[in-house]
Amino acid sequence: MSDAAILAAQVAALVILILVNTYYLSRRNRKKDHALAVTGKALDATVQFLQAMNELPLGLPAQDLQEHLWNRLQDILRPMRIRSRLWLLDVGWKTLRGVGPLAGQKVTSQHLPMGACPALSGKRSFQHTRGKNEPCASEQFTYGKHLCIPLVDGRESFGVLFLAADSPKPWDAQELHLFNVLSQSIALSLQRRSMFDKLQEKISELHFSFEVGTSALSAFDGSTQSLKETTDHILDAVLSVLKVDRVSFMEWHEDEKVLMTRCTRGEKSAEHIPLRLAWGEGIAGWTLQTGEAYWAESAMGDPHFSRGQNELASLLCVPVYSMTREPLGVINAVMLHQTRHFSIREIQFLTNLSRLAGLAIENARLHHNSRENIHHLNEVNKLKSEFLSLVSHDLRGPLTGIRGFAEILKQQTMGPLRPAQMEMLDQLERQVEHQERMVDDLLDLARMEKGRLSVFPTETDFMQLLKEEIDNASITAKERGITLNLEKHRTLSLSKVLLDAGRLRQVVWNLLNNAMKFTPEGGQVTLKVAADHDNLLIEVHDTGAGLSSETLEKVFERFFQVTPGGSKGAQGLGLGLTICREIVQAHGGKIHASSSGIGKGTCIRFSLPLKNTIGQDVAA
Amino acid sequence: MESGYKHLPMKSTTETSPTIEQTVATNKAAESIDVRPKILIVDDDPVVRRIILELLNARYQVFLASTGVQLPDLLHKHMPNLVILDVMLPWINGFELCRIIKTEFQEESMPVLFLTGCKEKEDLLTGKEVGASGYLTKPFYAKDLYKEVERLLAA
Repeated sequence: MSDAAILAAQVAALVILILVNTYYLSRRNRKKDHALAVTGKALDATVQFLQAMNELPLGLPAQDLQEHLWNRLQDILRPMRIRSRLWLLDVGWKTLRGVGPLAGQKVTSQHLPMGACPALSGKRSFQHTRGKNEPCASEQFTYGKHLCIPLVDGRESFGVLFLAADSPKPWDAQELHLFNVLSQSIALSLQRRSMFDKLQEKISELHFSFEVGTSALSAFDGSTQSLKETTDHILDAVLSVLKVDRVSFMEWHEDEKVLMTRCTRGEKSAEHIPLRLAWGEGIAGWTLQTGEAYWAESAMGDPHFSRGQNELASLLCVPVYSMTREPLGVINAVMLHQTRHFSIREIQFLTNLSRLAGLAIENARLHHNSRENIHHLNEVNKLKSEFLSLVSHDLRGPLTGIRGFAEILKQQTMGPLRPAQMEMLDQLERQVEHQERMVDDLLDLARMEKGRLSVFPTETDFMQLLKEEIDNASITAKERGITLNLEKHRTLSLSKVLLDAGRLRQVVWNLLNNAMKFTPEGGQVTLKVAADHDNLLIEVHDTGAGLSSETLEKVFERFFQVTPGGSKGAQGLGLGLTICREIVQAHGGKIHASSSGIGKGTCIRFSLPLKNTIGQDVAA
Repeated sequence: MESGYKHLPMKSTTETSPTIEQTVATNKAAESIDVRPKILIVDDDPVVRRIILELLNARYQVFLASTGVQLPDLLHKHMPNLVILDVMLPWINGFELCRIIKTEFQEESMPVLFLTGCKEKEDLLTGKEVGASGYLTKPFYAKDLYKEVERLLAA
């Protein structure tokens, strides 16, 4: 071989070497460039992705957010010829729900069982390459390869990111890295969303609790008012908390054994046709029978729904019982147009409220009854007072006539009278006076029932008053053979005492006549007066029938009568001492009765406080 | 006699005239011009009217009416020296009548005496308030009536 040839060969070898080298170098660079590009793209994509997610409003409905996530994903992955799909956990349905449309799907279902994808349960990526292993159930198209990456943030799983491409060539590390970054970004967005949802939930729970509290209070608020107001309050509380279309209260009528609509509140409550259900009939009747809340999302299709009820979508019923577990009725919460799933929390709320409602309704009923009773009693009392006034007025009318004509006769202008006739006329007049006093007693009783009997004190010569009353009584005393005494103790002048003269006359007259009534012939009735600087003391003492210790306590009670053995029997109305006590008390005084026992006489003693300016000391 | 409820107001005037005639007729001793003091009584109870008439007839000229419906006319016609009023009267009660008298006859000396079954302190106070000069309650004693009438006519 020539040197030249060797050289040429060497050069050629070198060139080849260089070329090979260059080729390899450039290829390595290209690979590096590719890796760099992929990494850069991933970075860009992540930044863009996160930015886009950040711009979304927090309150965006979950479904819209998921659509957005998928769209962004598509923007990044479509240029790389990668198909993607989000399989997200649906807690309510306990499935994986597909987000993002795919043409030519193998499986048309948008829902997969939770265990369908090994990536979710294993929390690890699952990779399928055609010919190497079986595809997972989330693959709904025939791809060359697919990759499932769990969407996990911390401990929380949100679902699976499904990626697929036609080429069976495995993804390289950079691509896998990009996918991981994307999946983490998605998980982050979903987690943010879920936290927001939880916060919302907490807020609404708080709000709900607050409203429950308020409604509980307001349920009781009306219970001192009428039954209608009470139930209205309760129903309004239900309306505001549950946000249903209409609520009604059906009352259980024990006597007729029917459940009838009592109050309706909310939408078109006026158009609501009142219901009449038997025990156990319809959803409300069933609720009352079982004693538990009952709800039907689709009410008209419910087996307990009875025909003839009003059109409605969803229904929640709770029974209302009294404290003693007697059925009071049913509260119905109704959705009229859209069906609604009532949450456990809402059902519990209504169940709790129904207990309060039971209390409130019972309370209102009691109030109503007692108010009615009080009203009735007041009416009766008023009637009685009116009757008394009328009767006493009408009783007095004829007395005017009797006395008037007696006096005319006594004037003898119609002709002379014999002494016996004259005496009879005197008797007649005294009977009139007695009758008049009794009528006055009746009137006084009517006054006492209206309030306190009022007294109008004026300056009075008290001794003169007593003397006149003794004089008046002496005629009766003489007739009955009773000795009347007036005793004055101590040396106080009683010529200017401040008291109601008419009323005091009434007291003295009553006491004297009472004493004479129960004193046998030959007995004595003594009126004693004494005074010191502070009090005027008056005592009426007799030697008559006396009182037992039990009757002593009762003599001042209204209509109390003593019918002692051998006496003429009860006379009068049994009001005299009651009125005496009232008059004495109206003067600020005290009265009490004492007796040494049956047959040993009675003593009624009263004291009146003397005002300083009235009583005057006089030398004996 | 009936209670005057249904027959008024005509009854009151018709009843008034015969009463006067009767009064005059029964006092033949009186001169053609009667100078005795004149008393007008308004009471719806005929028994009460009769009794007052019997009690006062001998010494006074008595005019009777069962309601106060035509009271102003009667007052102008007879110009009584004293008016005795019941309180519970149909249509216009005694207190109202007293008020009317006090406003219409301010100049004249026309004292008003209530003679009534109303014994409430409030009624007594009302009587005073409307300008009455006396207050007697039914059933009344003749001596009390004489005393009050004399006192008021002397004033």
